[in-house]
Amino acid sequence: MSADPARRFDVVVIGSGVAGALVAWRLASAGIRVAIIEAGGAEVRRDAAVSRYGQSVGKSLGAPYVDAATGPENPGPAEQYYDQAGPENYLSTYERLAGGSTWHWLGHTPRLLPSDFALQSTYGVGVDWPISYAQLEPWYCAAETALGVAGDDTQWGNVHGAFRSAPFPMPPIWPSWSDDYVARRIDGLSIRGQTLQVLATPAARNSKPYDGRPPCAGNASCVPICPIGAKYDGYVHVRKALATGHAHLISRAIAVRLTLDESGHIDGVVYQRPDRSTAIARGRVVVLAANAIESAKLLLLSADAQRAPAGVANSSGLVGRCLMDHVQKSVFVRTRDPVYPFRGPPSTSGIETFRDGPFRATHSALRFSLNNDGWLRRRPGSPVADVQSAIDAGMFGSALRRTIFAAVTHQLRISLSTEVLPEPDNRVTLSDKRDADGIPRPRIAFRVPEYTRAGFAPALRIVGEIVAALDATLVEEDLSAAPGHYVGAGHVMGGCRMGTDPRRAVTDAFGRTFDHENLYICGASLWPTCGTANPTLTVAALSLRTAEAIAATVFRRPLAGGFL
Amino acid sequence: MVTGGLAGAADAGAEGSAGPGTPADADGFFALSQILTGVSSLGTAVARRHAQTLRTQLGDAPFAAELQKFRKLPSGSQDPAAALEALLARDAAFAGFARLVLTLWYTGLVQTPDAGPRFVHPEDYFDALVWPAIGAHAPASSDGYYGHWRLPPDSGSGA
Repeated sequence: MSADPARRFDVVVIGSGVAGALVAWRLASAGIRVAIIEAGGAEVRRDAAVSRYGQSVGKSLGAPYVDAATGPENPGPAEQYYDQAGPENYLSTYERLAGGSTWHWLGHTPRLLPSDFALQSTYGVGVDWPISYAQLEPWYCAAETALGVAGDDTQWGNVHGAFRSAPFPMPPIWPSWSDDYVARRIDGLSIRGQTLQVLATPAARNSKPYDGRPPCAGNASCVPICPIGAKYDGYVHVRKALATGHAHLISRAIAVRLTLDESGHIDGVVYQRPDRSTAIARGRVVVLAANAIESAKLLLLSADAQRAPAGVANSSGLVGRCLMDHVQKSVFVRTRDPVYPFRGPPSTSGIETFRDGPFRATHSALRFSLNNDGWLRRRPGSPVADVQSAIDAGMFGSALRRTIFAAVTHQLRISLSTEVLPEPDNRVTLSDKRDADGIPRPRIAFRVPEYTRAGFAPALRIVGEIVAALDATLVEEDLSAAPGHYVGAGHVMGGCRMGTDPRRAVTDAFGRTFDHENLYICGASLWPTCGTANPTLTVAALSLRTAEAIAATVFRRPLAGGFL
Repeated sequence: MVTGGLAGAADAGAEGSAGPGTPADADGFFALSQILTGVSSLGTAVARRHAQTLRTQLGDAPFAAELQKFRKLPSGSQDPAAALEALLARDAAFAGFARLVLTLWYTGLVQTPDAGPRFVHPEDYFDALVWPAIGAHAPASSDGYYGHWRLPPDSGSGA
């Protein structure tokens, strides 16, 4: 331990992604003194990040953020950091830097549906959340205000019962030419007794100036970087937290242990600096918001032989268990007419039709996205693959240009996102392998459940009907149910689920751990089930709700009403 | 201003490149690039950068030798593209050189023997011709107004 005296705060927040940043901002705005412990570096310089992106060939999620400076290892590709126990590889990763994974996210902010919160009572599968859609709904509105969400009120008034009590803060991001082309041809189509409708996807992406940030200019590089900050990233709230004067960001500080006192309270957060020295931060309350894998890992690492032998907050044995992801698949289509991909955000519309229905008793819900990124995600990816093959065929001049134009402008990708049920054996444990900082890596066991696989064949039939309605050609699909044939969505969920019963959950509906009354967990760790909604908006809603609970119950301080 | 057959037919670009062998395009790289890419209004700074990249990659002498083949094509020909096409067909080394030139202009990439494709400069990615060829811009370098993606591209892009 270092000679520094312990740093004392009111609240210690571990992780400065969207969850930790929102909690820190709300509490600090009320004068509560907050330390934010962030494993990664402090603020990203956007221009440098764009330059790194430009120079990267693979343009992976972490390409703009690879940090050449010394510091904690950024968990980049899954193979370098996860210890994959199998039988399938867990594919979704995250960023370690102030602001977290929302630096590289697409920005989609659909809400979970009422049925998603009550899968067990509605369809007899999975478990129920300890909170309903109706209870969370006002917080969804607050989260949309805080992040700045653009959406279509005429479309989203009551999708699958997900009523709205307030309009979207901003009008919808304009759909792409490709979206309109598809919608004209498939809106109103009846498939499996449900009616297709293409809806503009709600997104934390400015459709007008908002919160001091510009509107989207269609840079089309949202994943992995918005050059202008039109797309929300968690640093917006890190910055706001710091601006209150009551929050202190300790970056390049990896939390390695939560210490317990004799009454079972968390009395310290030990963190490790790049030189491997350690220090300790103390607070009346600790909020763990390090993303689902790291939060579970930290709780397990903090096992205390007397006080918490299975890990902090783990009397249920569920810490690390029921890890989930959204399993994604892509279908590559050649359209009859040009659809002009690579313009606008990578996706602006989707099909919400099959996110709910009686079929969920037998197979997973299905969310389809219409994408504007052509065949970028094919292997090899366009447009470089198309250009190279034309050049290799000896083309040049205007013939080359015509060929490239004809090939790429007719490329469409329709993607599928499906839910994974909570399975106890899908879990994070501690590996005996260590990372570059000498800290145990996470060992991840994962298998796509049968419930999810059972959805792929129906999905292929739905896509087939869409492609026929477009008079298009399905060029490649990988809706195989065989193991390993999927892509991770980047949605790391589960591992510290919320619930009503301390024997079957890690936290209550506010994220307060059952075992330690001053330890809260925020983020998608809390997910008991995952539906088919990108998790960030729900993360934000729950985090705002938890911040209010902490302020009220621990500090007896009301929080100010506005969320902007 | 001397206009050779090939460069004249390629329709001098915005900077007024006057053809291979002239001071503005001494080695002919600019004129060759215009014909190969089918784009007359190439940026001269980009061209200088690409020429240097290829010179470094291939070596000064091999680079110069391939361009010499292009400069020796008869000027005043009725169909300069056909003359070039004939050269491409009979000279495998030149055809390989032409493919490197095209790949660099269109994708911004160069092949490295051990490390696969790479961008020598980040600008090479942003300046790649594939993007205007499909009516778009390089991701992360939009010059479009909000909502432009709802409309088709403004200009025909070779279609």
